[in-house]
Amino acid sequence: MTDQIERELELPAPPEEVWRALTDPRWLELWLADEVSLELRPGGDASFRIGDELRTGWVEEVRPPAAGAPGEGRVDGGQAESGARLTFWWAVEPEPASRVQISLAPLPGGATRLWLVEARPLDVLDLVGLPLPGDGGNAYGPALLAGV
Amino acid sequence: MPDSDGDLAGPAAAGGAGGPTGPTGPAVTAATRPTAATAGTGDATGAVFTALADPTRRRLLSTLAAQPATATELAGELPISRQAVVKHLSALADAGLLERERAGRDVRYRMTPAPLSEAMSWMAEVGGRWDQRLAALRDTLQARH
Repeated sequence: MTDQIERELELPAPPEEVWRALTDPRWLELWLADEVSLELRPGGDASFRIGDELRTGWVEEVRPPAAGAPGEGRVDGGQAESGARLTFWWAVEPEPASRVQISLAPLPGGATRLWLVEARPLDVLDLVGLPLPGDGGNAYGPALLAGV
Repeated sequence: MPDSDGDLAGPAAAGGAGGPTGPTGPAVTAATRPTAATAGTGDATGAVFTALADPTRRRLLSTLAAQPATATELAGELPISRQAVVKHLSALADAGLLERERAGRDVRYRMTPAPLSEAMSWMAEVGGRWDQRLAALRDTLQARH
């Protein structure tokens, strides 16, 4: 758990607008990075240039906000039940990739709660298991990092 | 090492925006504040996180990692006043990251021999960068409402 940071904040916009700010490169370039290139689908490539720093990675999960009235979203155990979630991995060479997960939940009054977790590989490898070949599916190993 | 397992909770338990808010960052909740692990070390850990959360302090630390220097020498390399440098160096020294030694009429600062936990450094740097980005995201959205 020490290799993970979490942040939470309320944003003065509805989830659809926040989602756009999280996924549209023209918006991302206003707050996250100077140049963004993003294939918004699981397995899609992602790259971010922040000053002289280039981060590359890929998208794991794309779950846009569900249509519904504010207040229907429930944040439970850290996950928004009917909210939105974006998960991607990024790395600065030569460091291993870390995993960023951003969740959104609607709040009354047209606001949004955003929850963000960035985790380093040691923790994240525990979360994703893949069956190892040659063992009849009885053995699971951690998912490999970028480049697989 | 901080044991944050017990205190890291989902947003429902963290209570939303009940905690203190920094000048530019999002609300600090129970889920984001470093916690005290054992008696006597908790405050030290919190002080290290606070000390590392500032990019100028991280830069001072990495300069001093190369070689010790006085506040005047360091101020010569940065676009901030000597007074501001002294304030940052005091925060780093209070957190146990620097030690002071007399060098004539000046005080020279050097990194303490104890190695800094790499995990703590990662958390402080990554967390600090997200604080800046999320504040910018909030400002971007605020400007349209």
